[in-house]
Amino acid sequence: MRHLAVLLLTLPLAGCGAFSPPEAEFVLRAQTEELDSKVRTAVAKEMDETFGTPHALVAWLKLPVDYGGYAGVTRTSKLAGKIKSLSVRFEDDQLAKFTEAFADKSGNYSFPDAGLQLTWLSGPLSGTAIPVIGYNPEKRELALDEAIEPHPPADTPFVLQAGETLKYGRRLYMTHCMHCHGASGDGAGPTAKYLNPLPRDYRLGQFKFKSTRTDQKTSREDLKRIILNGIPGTYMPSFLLLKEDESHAIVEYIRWLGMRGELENSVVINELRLDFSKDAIKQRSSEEGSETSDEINESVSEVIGQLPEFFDSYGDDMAELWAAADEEDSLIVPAVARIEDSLESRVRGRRFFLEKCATCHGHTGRGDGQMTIDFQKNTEDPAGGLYPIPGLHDIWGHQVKPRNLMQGVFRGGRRPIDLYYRLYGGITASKMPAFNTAEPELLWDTVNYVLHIPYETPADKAAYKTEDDKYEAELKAAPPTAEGATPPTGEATTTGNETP
Amino acid sequence: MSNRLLVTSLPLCALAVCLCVWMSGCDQGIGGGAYSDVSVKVRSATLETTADDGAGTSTTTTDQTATGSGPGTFSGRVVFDTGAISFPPLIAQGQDVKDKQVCSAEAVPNEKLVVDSSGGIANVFIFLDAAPKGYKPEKEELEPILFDQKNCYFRPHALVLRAGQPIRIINSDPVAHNANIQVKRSQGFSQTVNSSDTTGVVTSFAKSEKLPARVTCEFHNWMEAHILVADHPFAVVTAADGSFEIPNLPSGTHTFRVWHEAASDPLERGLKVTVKPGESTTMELKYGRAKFSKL
Repeated sequence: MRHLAVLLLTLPLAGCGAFSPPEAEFVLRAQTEELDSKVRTAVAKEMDETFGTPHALVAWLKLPVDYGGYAGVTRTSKLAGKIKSLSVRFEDDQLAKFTEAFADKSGNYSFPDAGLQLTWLSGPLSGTAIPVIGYNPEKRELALDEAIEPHPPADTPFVLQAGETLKYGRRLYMTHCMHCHGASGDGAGPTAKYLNPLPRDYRLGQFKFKSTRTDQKTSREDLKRIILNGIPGTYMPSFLLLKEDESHAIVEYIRWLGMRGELENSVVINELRLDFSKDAIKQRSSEEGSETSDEINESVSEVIGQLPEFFDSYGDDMAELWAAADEEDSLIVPAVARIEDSLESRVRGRRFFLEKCATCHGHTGRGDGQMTIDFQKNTEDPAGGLYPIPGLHDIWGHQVKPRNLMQGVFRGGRRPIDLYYRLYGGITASKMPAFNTAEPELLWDTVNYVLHIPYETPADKAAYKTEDDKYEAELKAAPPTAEGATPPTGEATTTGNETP
Repeated sequence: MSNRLLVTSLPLCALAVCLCVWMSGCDQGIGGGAYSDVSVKVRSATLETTADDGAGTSTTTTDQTATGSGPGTFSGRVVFDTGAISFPPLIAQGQDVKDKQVCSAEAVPNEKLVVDSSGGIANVFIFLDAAPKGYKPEKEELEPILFDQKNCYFRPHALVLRAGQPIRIINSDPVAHNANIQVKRSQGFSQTVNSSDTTGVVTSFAKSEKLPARVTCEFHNWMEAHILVADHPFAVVTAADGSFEIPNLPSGTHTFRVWHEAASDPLERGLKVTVKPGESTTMELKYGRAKFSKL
């Protein structure tokens, strides 16, 4: 009886009340938090105005994100008096989308009870929204709920149901992705701390597995492929059951979160950190810096006044890079078709591997090269110290392990073309350099070798040994020197007889 | 069912029910409020500036007002306060390192802090944060700058590149190198340069950087250099004797940054220099060991 009472008392508390977690919020980067408090507050305000909060998103039209909705323009102008219908023009693709969403088989449009929201994109009404209750396809007129006056001029752009995709993406992201990647996309969701490798922190705007050239960002296709296929060898599962519009909405939301963090990061590290971090302000006001508090305050207010401009110009640069990633010529296209896998091809590929890849991936591809035991310099450490743990570190400051190729598990996909992308484009965000100066045939040979590593037979090993012996004999005949260039290779004395 | 079993199972059932209720949860619960109400506001792509804000773009350079006429020169020397100092080579001749037949064929000098016999500090970057107000870049064809990897160190160790200026990265060594140029405003550059490739790879950076970018080689982790990308010509690196000269500066007061890789903060955040038309302003900048905290 007593237990039942406890149960009954607990139930009402269980739902929305006592146990519900805190509201989702967008957090600022650690570097932003380290800024002088006035500057930090101003950055936080600018971030809110530019991107909003998880409950009131802002669709900044500067960014190459498909926020959703149906874009169109007004057709006629100079109508006198109050009007309740708008003549409009939709581009074909927009109209098709619009029709699919709201028209029945006989071509009659019906909207939800509250109508659709029409948001003006320019002019004096820019940013404001009015409800639309119907559409007449013959007259190409939108019926308004309330009359407006004056009529906006011709060719005023608007969008119906602005931000629909962003909203949908947010909902799906919060359902499927947030618990690892965090509401801000900082890779620090509630589950993140139990995972190794850690979930991606999007906020540098960098992703590792892409099919675009080394100097390009990640394309929408790349993100979609990762979401649908997952990342083998990590906790990123496959979301193959997502429908087309669902994966599209998630990709757009992730790109938007990435751009949000990237813009904050760019402005803070390029324009603010050097002179306006708490430490910098302290140093500037010390006897060494010898700036008066008036001078410092003046520079603080000046830089705060410049923030909108910084967001604008850095936003332009960033938008350009993201948009370029989806252009066709950003894609890596091998200059020759794949070389058929053969022992000869693998022998050539192995030579390339020993010269270029073994430093990190080890001579047998076990991911145990010299670089994994050396201590690396921490670029973010002001004292210029080393990372506390040995090995390579990625741009997020985490230790990154060169892949153990014996396992045959490839995070970015195991198709030969996926390996070609990795070789040709490198993995910019970790330490893998791009080998785009190598002959494409040789890259395919290396792909063949790498794919075959887990399946090496005694016959393969014998062939590799023969090649090593031949290679070393040639090397003895003409050893490489710092001056000369024959034969063009290093690694000479260490190949072949390193690890058993 | 025994009474004991009932006593132990009831709380468990209660807990299970609670968990179910909680997990089936309301909108604000699991999923970060996935289904809670969300609004979207549209923000215009262009910056909304109020009329009196119109001149805002030039505020960065208000203290670099060009008064008077004709350009002047800022020159001088950066010196180490205790005079000459030298460091043992980073890698001694014949030392057992990766690719030792090339990399330690000769000693690799320690270029972390290079001070000559007279105390002059080389490789110090002296530059304006932004182009002076009213400065118009001449339409000049910028010659490509050569950046070499030889004997497993970068040459030169410190260099200034103009935004858009081509840089040709070559490799004079018979081993593979890569140059990982960690610029912050453009997408980073990290490409391998084939062994003995003296044609190399040509690249450029469209955006100016606020500080020199670090350059490393993933094959040889001791290799390091710094490149500053500037969108104006008022940025230099000190010569071997610590001397520098920045000509053609519009007259007026300029604020220079002085930066060295071994100092965790800039040597000078804002060095005020007044330049008079046709004259040369000379300064000796002296720094002590304490400044170079990264050594």
